[in-house]
Amino acid sequence: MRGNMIQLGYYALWGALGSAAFALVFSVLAFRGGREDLQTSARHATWAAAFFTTVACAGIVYAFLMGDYQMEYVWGNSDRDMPTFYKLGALWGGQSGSLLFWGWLLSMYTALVGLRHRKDHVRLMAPTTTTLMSVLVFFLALVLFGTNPFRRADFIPPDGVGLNPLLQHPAMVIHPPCLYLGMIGFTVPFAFAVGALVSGRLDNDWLKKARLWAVVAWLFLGAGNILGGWWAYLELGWGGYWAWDPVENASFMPWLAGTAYIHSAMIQERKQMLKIWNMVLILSTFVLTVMGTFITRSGLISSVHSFAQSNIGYYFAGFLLASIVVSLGLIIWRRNELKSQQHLDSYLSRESAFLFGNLILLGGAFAVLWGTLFPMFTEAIKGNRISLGPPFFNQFMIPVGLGILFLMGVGPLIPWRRASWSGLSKVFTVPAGLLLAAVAVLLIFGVTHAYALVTFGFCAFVTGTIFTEFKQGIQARMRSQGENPIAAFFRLFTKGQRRYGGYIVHLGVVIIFIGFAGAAFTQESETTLGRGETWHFRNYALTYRGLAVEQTPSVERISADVLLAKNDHNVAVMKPRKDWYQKNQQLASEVAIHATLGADLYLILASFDEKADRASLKLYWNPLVSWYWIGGLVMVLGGILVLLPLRRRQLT
Amino acid sequence: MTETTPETKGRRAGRVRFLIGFVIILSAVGFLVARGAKNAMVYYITVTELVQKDRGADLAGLRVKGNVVPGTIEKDELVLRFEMSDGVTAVPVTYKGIVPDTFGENGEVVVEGTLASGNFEADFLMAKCPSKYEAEMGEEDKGTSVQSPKSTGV
Repeated sequence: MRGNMIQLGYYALWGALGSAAFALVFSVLAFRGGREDLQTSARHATWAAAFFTTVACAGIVYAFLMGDYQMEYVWGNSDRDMPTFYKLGALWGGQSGSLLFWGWLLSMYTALVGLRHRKDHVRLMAPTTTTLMSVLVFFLALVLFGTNPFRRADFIPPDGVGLNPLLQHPAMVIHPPCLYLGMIGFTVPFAFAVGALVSGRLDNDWLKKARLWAVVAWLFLGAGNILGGWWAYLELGWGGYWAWDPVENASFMPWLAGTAYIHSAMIQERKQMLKIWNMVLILSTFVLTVMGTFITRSGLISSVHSFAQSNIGYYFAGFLLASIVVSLGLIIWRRNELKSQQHLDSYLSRESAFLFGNLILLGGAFAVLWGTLFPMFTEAIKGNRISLGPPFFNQFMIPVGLGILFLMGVGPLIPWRRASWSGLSKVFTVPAGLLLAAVAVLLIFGVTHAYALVTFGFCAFVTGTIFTEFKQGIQARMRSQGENPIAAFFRLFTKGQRRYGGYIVHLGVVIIFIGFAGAAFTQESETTLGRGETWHFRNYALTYRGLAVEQTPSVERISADVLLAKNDHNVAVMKPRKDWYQKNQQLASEVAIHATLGADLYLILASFDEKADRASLKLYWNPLVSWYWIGGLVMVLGGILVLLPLRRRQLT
Repeated sequence: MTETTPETKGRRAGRVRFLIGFVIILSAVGFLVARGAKNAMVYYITVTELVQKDRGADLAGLRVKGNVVPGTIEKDELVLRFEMSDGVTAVPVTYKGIVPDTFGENGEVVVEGTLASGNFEADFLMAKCPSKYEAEMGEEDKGTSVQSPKSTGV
């Protein structure tokens, strides 16, 4: 019985590949003949593919829940002691399962695209479907012929080897799907772009559709990145959330390019400018997601970070090359239809602020790409193995980030086409005033760190811009609709959903930058304490009160009991600990964090001596870190506000 | 459309403005990247290269990769001593700081620091656990997280 269910999952994979291939062929035929009926068949086939990939994933999840350790994938990624919650997450814990999961998400996206746009024009939707299905066929073929998660050993092991304890954390169950939804989601706007290029339907129609899906993907990708940082901060014990690791860069680069696309699409929608540029942006975003997948799976880059190298990288390299060639070819073929109808009239204009923001975002993305790939190039050319660490990325990404932040304050207020200096001084009174006030106050309080000052100043500037925009919007509604200020505030989100939701996202980014600025003041210290000894650090006092050992069947937990006092008041008991996972023969440190809005106290148990009753502790003082998480949350809320179907209800 | 200038002229001027902005931003980012690359570069060398050529003297940032020699690990509160080897040569290493959870005998390590009188003083240590099952399975976990330098305290 158990075997049958799983066997079913395996056959479902073939069913999915067949359906996807069917949809691919029929959408091509539908496009060539302009045949609605064939496109309907193709659409139904995409739904069949989504059904089959769902069954395949269910088969694996079932195998995990049943503990079918004869299946190599289940054996390699779970064991009997694992909680059910983590067994669900084990689906994407390893290479082959995560590829299948990837395929499943893509097929679900495609099914939703089919559902939402079923009444849209066949000439646009058919090539869009073809593109989506080509990508799906690629992934399903990889799973079936490259790295099959249903592969079985010829004996039945009694138990699995388990999932790495570091990955057994709630954030690790939410973070990968979020990231995948983001990475895969950008396939949809890419497919629409290809659809528009192939069909020649290059008006605002495709752009609006693509933009909506791009915002969905962008939201998931951003949330996924922040969740990844949260996991790193809680679980990895080095006191930070971002280390410019190639794996992080892989998902950060498409996020930057996607951000640029979402913004410049607005310019095209409104001004019929930047058509080629937008094509380049959405294609770059997609290529960067494939590149990111390639980087994380090939083992080519940063050979230190990954162990085994798998030949899957070569398939991705081929896929990457094909995507670039096809998309560039299409853009060149359609270059005449992509000519802009309007032009950049002045540097002092909203168009120009958007464009510069775009360039900085894309420049940042490619600089990160260069830094990620550079070690590979030098090794190939000079034979020297080198590495570029966080200081390298920080020294150019801080100015890049500040440039973006500044333009976030300029873009929404500066007039279209051509602005005058006298007009600007009127519009920017509040933001500029706030900027100067913030810097002045910080200087009075003795903050002299240049980057931190600029960051806080720009944060105040952007806040001023957002405030001005809301104030103007509310006042306009009060005048024209006679609404009270509170009703007007809420109506802004239903009437100007994209715009005001977008400002909430900007506010989230401002809060995130406050968190970044805090990183300039991080301090760290370490010491060894005997029982009863107290360690003074800033206005904190940490008293070590002994070790506690807790033994469960699979894990031995050893924690240090530390009493934390702040300004001579006891505020918390912190228990940094080390867990010894017997089966994996692996140690996992669990940090203790005392988080406040002002600063986090981050405590790690470095080592301990049970006999002497001594513990070595390492401490990080991380100011304003909480704002990073809060800002992330606000950003996600703003994104949801943009996407919620608020307006539809009013139309009916 | 409300162009005041003739269509072609406006287009050309707009394109020039676009190009100038493009070049300025590209060169600014390029400059920042290039400026940092020189200072931030860290060289990878093997233990043999480190000892024989004594390259510790002339290069500031050195990253050495090797395996922990079994039975050489000594831990004294916050100071860790061990020997690492590339199969040919071994060198003693001293490291002060948080020891990654994945550090262990026979495991692969990457250390960063300087060579001083035959002893490598590391200010950074990165370890990979000798993953048994991954090698056996012939395929690899995504390569994220576990192997990232984060996991090891960059």
